[in-house]
Amino acid sequence: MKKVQKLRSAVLRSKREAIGYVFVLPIIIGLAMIYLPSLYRAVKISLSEITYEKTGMVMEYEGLSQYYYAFRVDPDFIPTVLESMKDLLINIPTIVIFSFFMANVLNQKFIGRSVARAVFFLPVITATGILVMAEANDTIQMLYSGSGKLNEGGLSNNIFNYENFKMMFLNSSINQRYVSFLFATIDRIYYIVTTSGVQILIFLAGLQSIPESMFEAAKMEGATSWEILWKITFPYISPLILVSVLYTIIETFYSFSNPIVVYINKYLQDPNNFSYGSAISLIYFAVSAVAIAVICLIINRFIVYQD
Amino acid sequence: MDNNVALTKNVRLIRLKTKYISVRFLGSVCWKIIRTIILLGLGFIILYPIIVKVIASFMTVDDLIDSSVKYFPRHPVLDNIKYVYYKLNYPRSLLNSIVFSGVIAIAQVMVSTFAGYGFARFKFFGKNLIFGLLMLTLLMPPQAILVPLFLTFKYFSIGPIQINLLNTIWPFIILSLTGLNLKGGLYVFMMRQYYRGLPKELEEAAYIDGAGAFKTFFYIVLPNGIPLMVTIFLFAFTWQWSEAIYTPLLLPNIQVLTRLMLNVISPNRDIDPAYLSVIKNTAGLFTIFPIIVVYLALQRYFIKGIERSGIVG
Repeated sequence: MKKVQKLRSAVLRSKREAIGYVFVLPIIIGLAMIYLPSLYRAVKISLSEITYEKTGMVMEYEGLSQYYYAFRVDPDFIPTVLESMKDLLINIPTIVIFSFFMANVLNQKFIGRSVARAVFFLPVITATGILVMAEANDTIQMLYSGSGKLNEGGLSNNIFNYENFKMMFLNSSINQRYVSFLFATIDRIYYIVTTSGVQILIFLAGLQSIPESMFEAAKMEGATSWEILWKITFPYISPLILVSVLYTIIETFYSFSNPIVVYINKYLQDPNNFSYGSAISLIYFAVSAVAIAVICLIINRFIVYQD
Repeated sequence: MDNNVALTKNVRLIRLKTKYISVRFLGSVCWKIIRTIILLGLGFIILYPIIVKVIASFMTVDDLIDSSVKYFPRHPVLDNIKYVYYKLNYPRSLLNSIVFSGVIAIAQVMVSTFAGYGFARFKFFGKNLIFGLLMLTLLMPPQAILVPLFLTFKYFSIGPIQINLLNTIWPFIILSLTGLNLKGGLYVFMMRQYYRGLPKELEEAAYIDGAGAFKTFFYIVLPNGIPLMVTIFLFAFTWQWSEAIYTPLLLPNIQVLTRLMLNVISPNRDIDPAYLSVIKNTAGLFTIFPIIVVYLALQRYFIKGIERSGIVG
């Protein structure tokens, strides 16, 4: 009798397991039929030379020459990778801090809050893909966000403009590294504001999920808002910091203001350079995987998990 | 009596004073002012490029160079708008884009709901591996598999038949239905987290009443997920709308806005750079406008959906 029951429950379990497979079947098919073969093919392409003949594309195994070219010959590749990694290192903390701050602000009650929210989430849909591509290096947008109009001589009428201000600080006795970091942040305010839409959303949702009783108890005990921020809000929010950091990194893969994306696309759009394009995109994948792993390890030390 | 009135007045005055001249009150007033300034300033930063686009679309190149013209063009013209309208093949490409992004977004919503539920509620061999691989697709720059994808769809084979799927919607539908399209893994993740947070009791009640797994899914689980599905639809629709990594390669000749805009904004030796810039901004306005309308209509779902998405918990 017991055996039968055991068997029956095993059958039920395997039936349920089968249903589970049905639900994720599309994903399995995608990974097995499209994604993994494509990854394999990308590696193969990056290891070979592509020539075009009447019958079609011919691939010839060539070994690591594309990788050798990327690391040892190409003068632009490594500096571009380093530049985009440096950008990432500046962007991650600024975006996370900024979006945490903005989420706190947008969570407060004030007149016109829904309008403010709508405006701050607008970049989630408008600052993407081709629209960023069109805005990057655009003359008019640069003129209007810069110090003034397009002048014939290219000189601005203002003596005290932002550029002069920057030079003044850079020449002062304050440590140059901090000053240039500060100005790098100021220079990318537009970028930061427009890329932190989703992160603000994530933090805002997180803030709203903190039980109200927590704040009440803290207030009863006489905690100041500063203490509440560090002792209650921050621990609750901390798992979301990892989420928003990861989202920030993913976002840079699609962003056309990321120099390495532009660089890789340049090669991928030219059929004669497919294999070099594949090689450098795989290198970029490896570099960003290492970056993601390191960042996750570091951040995980500061996260407070509830369970 | 008089004395008493004066006393109560005094007390009231002191109360008012302690209320309005305390450090706390001053602090909150200061914060309100700072907050207003921050919100207005940053809001302006966000809206400014769109305003500039509107201004630029009415400008001639002469107005652009003239330094006395800043915000209001001296000779407002409709030529740019007419030119871009013609170049973007507007009513037709707008319709194409709506259908295109709409179909793809629906496919992505479907697959993410289905797979998200599968990952959240079922135990089966290799689940973590599959989920991990799916997350890997998300953490991998899409450029890395761009060329193989191109080749896959150019020589797409079903059994012995080989078809060229480029310039059709099929590559995108196939990618969406397998969770591999732009940020597809993210949507599956959101759905999984959402269903993990949903109480199991509802489903268990349905099972006890004799409903099978699929019946339970369609009658109990699916209706509960609608708010998040709307959010995912919005994300998928608007991101597909301006997607510019897969589209140029997989749809070289189809009339969607992204593709045509790429033609318009690419640098060209015959065009004066200043004029090109005017055209770029006008084209940007044409592309941005429809999704802003969609966004304003559905924006409350953005916050609601994310709140319920369980990304949080």
